[in-house]
Amino acid sequence: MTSGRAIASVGQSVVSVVAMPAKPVREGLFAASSEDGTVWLLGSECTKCARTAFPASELCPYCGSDRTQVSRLPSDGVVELCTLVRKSPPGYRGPTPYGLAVIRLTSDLLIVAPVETHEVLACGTRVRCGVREVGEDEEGNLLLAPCFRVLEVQPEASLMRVVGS
Amino acid sequence: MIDTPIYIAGVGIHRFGRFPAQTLTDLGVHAFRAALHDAELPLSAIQAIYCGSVYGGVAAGHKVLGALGATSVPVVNVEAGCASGAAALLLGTLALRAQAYDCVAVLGMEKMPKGMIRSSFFDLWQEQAGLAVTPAYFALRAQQLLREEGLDVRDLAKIVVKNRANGALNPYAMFQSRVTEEEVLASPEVCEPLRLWMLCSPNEGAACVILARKAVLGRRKVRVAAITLRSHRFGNVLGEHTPLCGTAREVPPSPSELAAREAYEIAGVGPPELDLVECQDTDAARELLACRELGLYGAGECAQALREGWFLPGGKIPVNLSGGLLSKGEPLGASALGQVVYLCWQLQGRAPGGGLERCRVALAHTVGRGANASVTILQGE
Repeated sequence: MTSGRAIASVGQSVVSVVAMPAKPVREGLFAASSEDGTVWLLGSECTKCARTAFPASELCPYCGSDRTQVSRLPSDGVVELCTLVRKSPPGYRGPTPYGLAVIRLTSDLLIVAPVETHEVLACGTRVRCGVREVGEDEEGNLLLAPCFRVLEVQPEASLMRVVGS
Repeated sequence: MIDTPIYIAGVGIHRFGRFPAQTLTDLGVHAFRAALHDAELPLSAIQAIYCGSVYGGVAAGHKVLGALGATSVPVVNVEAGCASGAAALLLGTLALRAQAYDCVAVLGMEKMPKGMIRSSFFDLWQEQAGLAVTPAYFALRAQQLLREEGLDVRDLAKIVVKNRANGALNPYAMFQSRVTEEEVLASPEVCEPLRLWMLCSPNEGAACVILARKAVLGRRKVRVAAITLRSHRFGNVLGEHTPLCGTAREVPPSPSELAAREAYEIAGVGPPELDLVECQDTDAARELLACRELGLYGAGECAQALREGWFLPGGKIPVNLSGGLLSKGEPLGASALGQVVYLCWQLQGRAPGGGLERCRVALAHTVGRGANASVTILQGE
């Protein structure tokens, strides 16, 4: 299986899909372009309340409507909050340490996602969505999961934005 | 309004800690018998049993009743995460208010696995993706609070120092020793900014509360003035429902805020009337966040509250005088009722380790994954 099946649900807007000898930890979690390697998380937009949720879901978690559409989320964002995971949590077989961060995507959606880093990242650090290998499933497929990468390290100075305000 | 007053007829507890030689049923039986003894009631007086437990498995409460002497009364096992004991208390209170029974027992008990707990709450893919990392969510929430309230990691260490000092006086706590700020800061870093000693230990224990529509004993009457249980609304990226997304604007009120508002309204009291609070200090920052959600200080006031010692013993409103979960540990099903047992003792002037001079209104709060939150307000008459 490739991530091609995941991309299919977004429609025809994506030209082609990179063929990865691996499978995502969950179908429909992300999509990737073969053109330039861009990775998008896949969310869902509610046509009733106009809110976006991630991961994509058939029912809108805000209002319960079934009028949702899968959409690609922006690949870029900035770190709002970040902590470091040193020990593998239950069921995880990928590399450590890694960051777990609240990321503000360029669409203003806040998401929680792993970030490739060995240290706590400062607020404002620019990151971009990628994927990482997180072990194999019982059939020997490589498992892929989203992981953001640092584009440009932010000095400590810009620490004062507050999530939710 | 709770029109029919519901009284606490008796309370019992099994110390929180690790007890490899005892089964979950043993712990439950101990707390249940202690509560019956305290209420001076025979088992035959109990008309229904509500039992909170998360990891207890099939018919956990039934096994306790079986060990005590089966009386064929209804037993309902309740799971609501960290608020399981409170959910059981809610059901028991509602049954009495509906006048279905005159006297019920509410039991909470747990034997937790050790270490970072694997929870069925997370899906397999979330575990595989490295997202099932509970302390990291606590840490992100802690960072947000520190930033919003202008605090630093030393303030978190001071919470641990306070709660462990309180716990040193509580014979039912898992840890009964004081710690210093330096020791807390020197304990292993788990997830920045949280050090190991800033996190409570999942553990084992049981607590039991007997509720009745009449208070018969000679000691001071303690009334359940309010018990509320709420779950979440979607939108808070760091909510206890552990979502992967949220909004930057219009963040909905948290389950704790919702439960607190409702409880204050039902009891007809507010934060100024509270003499004592036991709240969810799963980690040191969670206590401070809970205090804000409960309205013990306003947004942006935390630094002042800490500087002026509001939450210390003898302060404006002592918080976690029992030692909190940081001293007691957190047996999920039992923790909410452990708070109620302790507050009941305080309201009746019989708390181990010394009581407050004046304690008339007390509040217990839990919050946890699900999301769930409970607020219980007890009033001495």
